[in-house]
Amino acid sequence: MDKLHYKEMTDNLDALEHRCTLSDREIYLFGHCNATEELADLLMNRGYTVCGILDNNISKQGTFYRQIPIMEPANIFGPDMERKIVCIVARAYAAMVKQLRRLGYAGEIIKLVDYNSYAEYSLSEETIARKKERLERGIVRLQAMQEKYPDCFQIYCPFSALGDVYYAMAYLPYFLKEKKANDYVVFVIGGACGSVVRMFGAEHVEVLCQKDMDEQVQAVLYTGISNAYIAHQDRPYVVKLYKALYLKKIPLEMIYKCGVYGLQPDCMPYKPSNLKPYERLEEIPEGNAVILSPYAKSVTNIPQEYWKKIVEHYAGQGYQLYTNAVGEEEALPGTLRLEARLNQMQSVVERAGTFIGLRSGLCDVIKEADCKKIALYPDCFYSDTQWKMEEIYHLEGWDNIVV
Amino acid sequence: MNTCIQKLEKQLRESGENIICLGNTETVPPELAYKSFGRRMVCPVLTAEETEVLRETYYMYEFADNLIYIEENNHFPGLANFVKTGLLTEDEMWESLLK
Repeated sequence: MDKLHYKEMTDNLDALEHRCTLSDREIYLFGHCNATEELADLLMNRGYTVCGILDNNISKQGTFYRQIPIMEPANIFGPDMERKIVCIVARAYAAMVKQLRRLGYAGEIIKLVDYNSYAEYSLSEETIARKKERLERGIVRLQAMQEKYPDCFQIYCPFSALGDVYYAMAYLPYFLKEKKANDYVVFVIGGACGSVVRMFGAEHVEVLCQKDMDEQVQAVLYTGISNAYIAHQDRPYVVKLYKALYLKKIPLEMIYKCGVYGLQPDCMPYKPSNLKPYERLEEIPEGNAVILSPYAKSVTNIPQEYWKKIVEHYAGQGYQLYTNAVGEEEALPGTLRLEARLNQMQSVVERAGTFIGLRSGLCDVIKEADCKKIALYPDCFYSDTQWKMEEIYHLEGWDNIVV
Repeated sequence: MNTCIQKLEKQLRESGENIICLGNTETVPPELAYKSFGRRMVCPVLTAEETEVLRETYYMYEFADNLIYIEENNHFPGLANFVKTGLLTEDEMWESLLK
């Protein structure tokens, strides 16, 4: 979970605590994902007991996160229904509410993070009026951008995920050529995604917050302007590419190449053209260091014990170990903290000789690096599909290891 | 409330099935949709006015999870790209839409 969403979650939890006595309630969470784990951690740090994590994925049901049972949603039923409260920090909030109500759950349901401002399963006049206002804000922003970039084709990367942005950019030139678009502007969320876009030499990049992005994308859909394209695999709601995964195993890169852009499977990606060397490259022992990357946003973490063993293994062989860390992320014990910019990371890992990372968008960013590269995956399924994470996020030329 | 919206809301509320609406019957032949979706769908007959209201509302926000609105567009990727590139057959495209 990024900083802004984490703050939104803590602010909303503060407000909830102010409004009711949570310690008297039976707390359930819905949807086992990285964000839900962070909410569980936050609640437990504040002294609350989480009774269960509801999840529709049968492969997760019966397992635990920090001794919290993961269970099918119907298990929420029992005595004292009015004491139960379901907290949700997942994108599928609206669908989860619908499911719980259809099951007959009449207790309280709270959204602690708004991951999806597009969805509200209602056609009430009040909802439509609110969504019209949201749309109008988006249209104003869209018009301003059209004035700022009158001759540019607009490319939207509507979600803050480095890997998605990387592949959107790696195949974009083919798309622009077909559209006969000479100049273009890319809209992203957050500075890190903006960096990825610039790595591919883009001249015009607009960095938005999630709310503004959602509203502007909505305006693109509604107005149907001719010079814009939403280059994403499953956002917003009109994009249904992910549904193909219910039938076929299609790796992420192929989803972008074939699904997002309609390119043939043998089409080769463009490589980042605007990379820089890390300023302190000489401090890294050449070929005798390991860069560790234990943090990821979209996959659940792997046990700390595993990282400890990796550190011990390589330290015992005389390697210098670094943890790639951003902001408040901590370096693993026994490693040095390393803070390089995204466009410098390839030089860092090539100098070090070895990269070991939890599968995250960073792995995509350095996928072309010439060094030993190991991606670690939690042993779980990709979303609600039958495919494992490793099968969808597999990286060619890497050691892909399921932990 | 707009009568078209009222009609749609009623259908969405009462239907246990997915509702599919075709915004462009030239690109998506209804008989193909019927064939592939089988019993898992309802395909309401809409007037031109109703289709336009539905279209406007659909592009304003996601108001239901059991409605699939299909029309040709150039603003976002569609499953047809997987058919074009050989990753899905046409029948698989329809089947996956309803999963």
